Amino acid sequence: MTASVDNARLARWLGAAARGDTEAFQKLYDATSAYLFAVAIKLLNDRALAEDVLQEAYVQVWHRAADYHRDRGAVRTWLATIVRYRAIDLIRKRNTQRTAVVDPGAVAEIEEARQSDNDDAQPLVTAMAVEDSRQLKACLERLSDTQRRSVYLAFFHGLTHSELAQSLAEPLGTIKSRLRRSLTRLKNCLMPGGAAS
Amino acid sequence: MNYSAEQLDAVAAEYVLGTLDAGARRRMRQLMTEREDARQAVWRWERALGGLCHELRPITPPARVFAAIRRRIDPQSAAPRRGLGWLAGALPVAAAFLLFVLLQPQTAPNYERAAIINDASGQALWIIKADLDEGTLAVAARAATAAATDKDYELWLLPDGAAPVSLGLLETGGVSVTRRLSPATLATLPDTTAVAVSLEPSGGSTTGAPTGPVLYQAKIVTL
Repeated sequence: MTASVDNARLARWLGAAARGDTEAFQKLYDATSAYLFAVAIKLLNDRALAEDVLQEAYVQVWHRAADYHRDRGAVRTWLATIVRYRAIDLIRKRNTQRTAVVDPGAVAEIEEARQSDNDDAQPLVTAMAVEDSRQLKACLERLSDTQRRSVYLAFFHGLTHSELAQSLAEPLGTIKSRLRRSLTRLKNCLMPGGAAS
Repeated sequence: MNYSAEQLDAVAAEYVLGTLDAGARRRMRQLMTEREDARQAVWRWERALGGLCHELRPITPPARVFAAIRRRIDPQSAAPRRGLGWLAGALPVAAAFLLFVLLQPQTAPNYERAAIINDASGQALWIIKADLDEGTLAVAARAATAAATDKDYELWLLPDGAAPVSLGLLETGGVSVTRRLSPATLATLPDTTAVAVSLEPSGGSTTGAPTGPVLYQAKIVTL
């Protein structure tokens, strides 16, 4: 688990899993599950629910492994997306108005990770994922603190606009326009030349 | 829906960020099935923002998560569950005792495997219990009596299609011991359906494989 696993190998295991190879699937799980579990726990704030989501996500990966292709980004990014969407769907289904836990510790932890550029500290991250991450970090640095904070809260806690407004004690319109501006700035930074066709 | 490219991109971004409500999320997915540009916009944002996930510290999930996944994707690996019926029928007393042991109130919800090793008359010699959460193996000697002075009993996991893995020597005389399993053994356990006991030279097999006669075998049951 401590060895860094490159994206090509993850993609190979995923390809083998698509052909029904359970051993390759287990290798994929071993190399990625700790990282995905952290994502699920962060969103759901509940270990038991996070375990359920993780289980559902990997069963989905097993059945739909053939759906992966390079347009979806690094394998790890694709897997994280599956976990995030499942967690967010579960949060919406439970349909309770949530306010973040604007847990200063949680934000601080992410901020700390953001500032530490020591990739050895995150041995599970693949080279391709690190590349994704590094560019994103640089672009996030160009946002204002409040913009970045709003993006983090939305991304890691799955809050809707109105939940964000409540969490941050700010008007809904302010939140909406701030997020829109943040995303536009990120896009201009990450996808120069307006990749949106 | 007639989104402009710009609007589509903005909704895709919010979809990936996670701020849309349930209805809007469903509409975005519907749109993705209908429009290539919607798919591309979402995928672009997934690639762009997905890197954020790499900032979290990994947290290893408990072994039961993969065991549950495994049962769902590979039903054959669920076979040990059927062993419980077989066991209860053949060995009601031992099984009842085992359930009694496992249902002690101090046992927090955990994920356990068990095996009862019996002699030919159905008398329990050892009761073996593995806790996959804690990574421990508890062995309680029941009716087992000491081997000859220059011999020891050794317990083995019998993984399907792989070499036996030693679980250590077995005590006798009513002694109960708990020991920690190595990560490799712990990884092998969830998919293993049987254990065996062999008679080995004092101190156990020196080759890493059973060398003496295999005296007993038992199924591993999932509880």
